[in-house]
Amino acid sequence: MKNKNMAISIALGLVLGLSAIPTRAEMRAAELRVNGMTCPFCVFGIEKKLRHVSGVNEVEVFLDEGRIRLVFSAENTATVREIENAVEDAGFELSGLSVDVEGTLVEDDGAMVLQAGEASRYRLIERNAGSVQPLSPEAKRRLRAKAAGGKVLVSGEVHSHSDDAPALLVERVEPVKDGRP
Amino acid sequence: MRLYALLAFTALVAVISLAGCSEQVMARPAPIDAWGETGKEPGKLFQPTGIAVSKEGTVFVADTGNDRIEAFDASGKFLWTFGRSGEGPGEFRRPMDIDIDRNGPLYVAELGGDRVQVFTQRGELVRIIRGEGASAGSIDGAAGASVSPEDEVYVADFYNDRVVVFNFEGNYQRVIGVSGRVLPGRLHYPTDLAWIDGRLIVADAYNNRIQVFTPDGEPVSRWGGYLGSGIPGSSPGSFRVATGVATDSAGHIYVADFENHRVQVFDDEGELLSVFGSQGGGVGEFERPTDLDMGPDGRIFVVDSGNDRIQVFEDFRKVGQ
Repeated sequence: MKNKNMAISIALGLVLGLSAIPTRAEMRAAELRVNGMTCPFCVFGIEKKLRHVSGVNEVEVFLDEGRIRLVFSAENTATVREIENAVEDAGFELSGLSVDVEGTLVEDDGAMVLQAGEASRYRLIERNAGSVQPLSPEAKRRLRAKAAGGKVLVSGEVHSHSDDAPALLVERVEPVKDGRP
Repeated sequence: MRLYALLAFTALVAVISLAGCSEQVMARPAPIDAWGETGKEPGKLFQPTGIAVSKEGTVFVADTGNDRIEAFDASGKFLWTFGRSGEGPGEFRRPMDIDIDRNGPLYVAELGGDRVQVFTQRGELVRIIRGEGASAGSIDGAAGASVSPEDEVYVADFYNDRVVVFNFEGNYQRVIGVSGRVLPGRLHYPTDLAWIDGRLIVADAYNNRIQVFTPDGEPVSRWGGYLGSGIPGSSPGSFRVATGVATDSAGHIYVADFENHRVQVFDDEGELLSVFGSQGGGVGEFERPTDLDMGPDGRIFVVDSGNDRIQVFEDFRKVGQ
């Protein structure tokens, strides 16, 4: 009886312990394009605001190219909305955003979604015959084959980044093994 | 609607009245030196923004892109540097501006660090001012700092569109200005501060104007655009982002007119006295000047930010005499 209670306690402890592990962060890197970054106050202001986005480790500003690169820590909950808000808070608007996101492929109402943490989902899209569309059955099959039931790192450009589930134009997909692609 | 009509009218009058000024012949200080080289090594500069010259003639440059302060002699000979990237004491997240109080310490405003750090001229940290514990005194982007004749510390609070005042020990006292455009006392991304006859001069950068306040925050006067409305422009007396301001012993007010790539000089009532500089990388030309200060001999040191260099001009007080 004592052993049985101990086994239950251990099992309970494991379950509780596992659930306390923070959701695995999923954004690895992002590249922003921002128009009108000319003055150092603006540039370093955007940099300051982006440093407050959860999990941002590095902010690199390429002033001449109007480009900013973000690198995220391994445990983060950053979202596209947060990045967009930070740029707006600095008085600018995003003109483009590309991300590297790690997550799990799931089907949602016929669409393929990259589930990246509890609150972060990306609708995967592709460019087909000159227009942007949901993934074709063939593209979905290829992605599932790459993932092989595990996680993938998807790189691409974010479209309609104001949505709760932003659309991600898939440019590159790599399987993630042992936490690294 | 009335405001828009007033703006349209003032813009029209401004265009008409300023058209007549453009041909005026004004005294211009001649360029006498330029120094600085792009890089990360000690003595080089990367996106410098702020400058202050001590009464001994040491030129301190906020080497913003390298997160450090560098000291030079007046001819540009590198002397020493201090600071590195980080958020700890003595480290910097984008130092934008330097002020030297009359007793010698340096006040360094950090845009990314939301604080002002006070150093000896050799770089030993004296204290940190950050407005902790007073929500009204919190800072969102310390773009500029200046110590008043009464030893209060004034901070240009960039993202909150105001100036925050601390006492000498760094305790919050009050705020000056509110967020807004056109009207007196409204600020829009202030970046730099200076003093003349006990009055505070604010580089109201993105309102494209200079505003003068009493130390208690009462608006006194303003100029830039027509009647100080801040309508951006390139005619003499107008600004396209007024980022830096400094004064000399004769009561002249110097303004770094950032996107017009020039410096403008005014008397203490805001009357235009001189305009010098144009866009470029040659002698006497600027690529987005951000700040300026006077040496003990009156020479003008200008941060030519886009060219990663400091340009030196002759004493304006002697020009035309």
